Amino acid sequence: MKRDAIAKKEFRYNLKKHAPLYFFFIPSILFVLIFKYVPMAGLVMAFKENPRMLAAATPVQAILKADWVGLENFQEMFSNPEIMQAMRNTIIISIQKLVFVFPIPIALAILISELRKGAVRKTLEITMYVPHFLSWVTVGGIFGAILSENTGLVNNVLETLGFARTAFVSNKDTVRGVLVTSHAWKNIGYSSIVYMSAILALDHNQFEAARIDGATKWQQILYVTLPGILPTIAVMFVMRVGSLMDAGFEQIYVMYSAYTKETIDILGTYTYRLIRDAGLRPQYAMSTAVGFFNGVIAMVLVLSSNYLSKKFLKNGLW
Amino acid sequence: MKKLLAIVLLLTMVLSMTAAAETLKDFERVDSFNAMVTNGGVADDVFNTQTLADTIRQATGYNVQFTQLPKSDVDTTVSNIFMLKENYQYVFVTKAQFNMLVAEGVLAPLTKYVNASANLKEVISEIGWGSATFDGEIYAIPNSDPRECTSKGFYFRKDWLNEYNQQNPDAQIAMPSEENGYSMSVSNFTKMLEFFQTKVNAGGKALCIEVDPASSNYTEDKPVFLQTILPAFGINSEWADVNGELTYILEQEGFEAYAKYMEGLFDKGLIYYQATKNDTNAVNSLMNDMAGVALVSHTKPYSLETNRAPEGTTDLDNFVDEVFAGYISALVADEHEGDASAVRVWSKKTYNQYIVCPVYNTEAQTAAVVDYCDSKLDKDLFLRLTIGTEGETFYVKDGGYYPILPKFNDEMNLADKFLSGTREADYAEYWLARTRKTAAQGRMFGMINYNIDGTGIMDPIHMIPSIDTVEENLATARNAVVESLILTIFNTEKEFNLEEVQKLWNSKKGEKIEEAVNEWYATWEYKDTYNNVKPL
Repeated sequence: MKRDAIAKKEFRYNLKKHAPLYFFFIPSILFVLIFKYVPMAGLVMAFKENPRMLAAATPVQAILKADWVGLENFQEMFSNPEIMQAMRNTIIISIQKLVFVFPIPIALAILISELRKGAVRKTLEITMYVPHFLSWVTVGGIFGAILSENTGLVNNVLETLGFARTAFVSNKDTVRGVLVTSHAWKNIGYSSIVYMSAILALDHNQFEAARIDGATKWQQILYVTLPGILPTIAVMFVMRVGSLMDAGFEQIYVMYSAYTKETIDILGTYTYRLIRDAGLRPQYAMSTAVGFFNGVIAMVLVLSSNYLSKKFLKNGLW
Repeated sequence: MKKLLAIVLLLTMVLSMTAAAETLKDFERVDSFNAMVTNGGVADDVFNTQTLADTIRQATGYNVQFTQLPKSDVDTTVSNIFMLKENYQYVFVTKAQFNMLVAEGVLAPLTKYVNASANLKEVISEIGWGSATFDGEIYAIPNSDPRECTSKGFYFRKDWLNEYNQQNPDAQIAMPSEENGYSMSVSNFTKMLEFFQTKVNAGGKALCIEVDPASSNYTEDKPVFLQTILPAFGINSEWADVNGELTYILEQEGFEAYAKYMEGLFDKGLIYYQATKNDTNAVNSLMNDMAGVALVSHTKPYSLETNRAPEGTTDLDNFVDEVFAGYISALVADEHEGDASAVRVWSKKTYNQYIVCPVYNTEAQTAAVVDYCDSKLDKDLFLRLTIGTEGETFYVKDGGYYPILPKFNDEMNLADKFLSGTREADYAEYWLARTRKTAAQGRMFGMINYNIDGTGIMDPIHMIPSIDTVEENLATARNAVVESLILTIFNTEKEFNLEEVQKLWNSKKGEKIEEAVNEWYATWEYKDTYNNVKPL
């Protein structure tokens, strides 16, 4: 009881002391409430028949008027082999990106932080960030041109070396590699910013002490840098796992073809196609069911990765 | 006396009220409204300040503010207008959108206004009004395609074909010309491709099949049904009247032979199938000698032909490439080789654009929209709004309309975006000016449409009204079929199997779609008159 009173007093004191800071916090809270929580009310559509939005006075009325169908939408979803295939692809592509791409920015940040010459370092940083600001349409175009079966640079080189030409982007066996590579090319530079900031924030006395103790550069990285940025790595890892069900809609959209549907059609593109095929009669109910399921899996992933992160790395998001 | 006066007064009132509904001008109308129109590829403020926009405002007396639909995701935008009751009183929609909106009951009925119009009823054909009618009520002003024609044909390397003929004097391939109706037989076409394969640059293929540049990766409107090749196998439209029933292409006799023929060409390495929009397209393939044949639209010849113009050619607009560029309107079966009367061309004259009013419009707003559309159809004004002014933007030669460039392009380029109903008979002639912007385009259009009145066959499915089963399932079923065909015909690893594709079509409710389509077709009043040209 006494502890509660102290805590309350402390909270009131903090509130008073940091009032201006809390004031700045309001827009963020409002943003999350309006754009993240309020729309969740729409999840009821997953348990209703498809609402007739056009005929109703308002979209909300259309949703309210639609009949409840229980788990019918989910049953239909799980009985559809295309959705199951899309789910498999989503997970596989996301895991490939996580395994192959996630460690690169960490290594890159460490390498850049070890560079002595400021000019080289700045140039490298800027050139690495640029791809992040290119749209997927542009990146798709660049990779399409470089990897083109008929005229692409890569195939020209391969042919010169005696290999057969390959349609990398429109071959179901190679396209995932293209996805991972282009994702890495576009994002590793930008993703390394977080780790570079974390490295810069490390206490340089530790490096000095390590040097005095005779630690090699490799040992400094292994025993000072990496443990120092481990909390950042853990947070980034949990966040990345949280978005595992988003395997990169835009990227896949620009590289999609009938040839590669089997291996790169993900939940996002499947849902999109569901809406596109239906024209002016979007399948809101089914799309919501897919999205809902997607969200539940993502939540489970975040909770479990946070638990594992806390258990093994002693750090987590909360 | 009082009674008599009262009766006279009453009669006068009744007569005046009846008279009030006789013309559109007698309806209460607003003098300004907002219009959602199709995309013209310019910013909205540029669109609104076009000379044409001003001309329309002045001539009709209506202050119209135009907003353009986006280039992509148009369905969502249109859907949102009606769902969120956005402030547009005039909305441009496609046929599919019209069908959906009318079925949902969100369109204002226009019958009484159209009946009171001065021009609309007269200049738009009955079949057009039929397509805009639902349960006896008119719900839209239909915009027809300008004329029955085909917009695509095969471009081929004429110089390479000449070379083949020189090398094979005893087995020459007849050059497509008026004599053979710009056709070629299937066997000759194959021989030509095989020869072209030896002429293309390393990595190239004889025939390029490109993704429709207007489609998204997901539209799946990908060219698996090659309209220039299919007539040789007896297939003249995706849905065709077979013994009085509309039959989908998979069920039409000849489709299996077509698919196997295409598969054979692909397996022989003669076809480059553009898989995604990022891959090299037809024009680039042809320009870089990476292909010798491609299905192209009549808007492409200018780039293709001027690309090989002799150095120093200055008047490119009037340049025609007689050396390198040839065109084929359609292939014919081997037994009809050289027979112009055996040529059949996939043609089209659809009503795919409609002007509609939301049901939440006030009566005065709807009356104003219809009056606006009606006013624009006055003969002189319509000419001015479609091809401009004689002597300034167009001239007349031998009864045909020709553009005066560059003014025609500068002033009339967006003219079709302002259309809201057409004087159908006049527009068929005016529109040809657009196909004569360059000599190269005019030449190709003329060749692929040579004798189109005697060769063109249209697909009745374009005239189908809103039917739930069709709306809900056709796109999905068709997309599944197209994907499956891409993966079998244009793929060396899998073999085409008609039964499997038919099974897939039926698993996507194909049979139900066919049933619904034929329920409508059986009662369609234009069933026997829609196509004048009969299949072979």
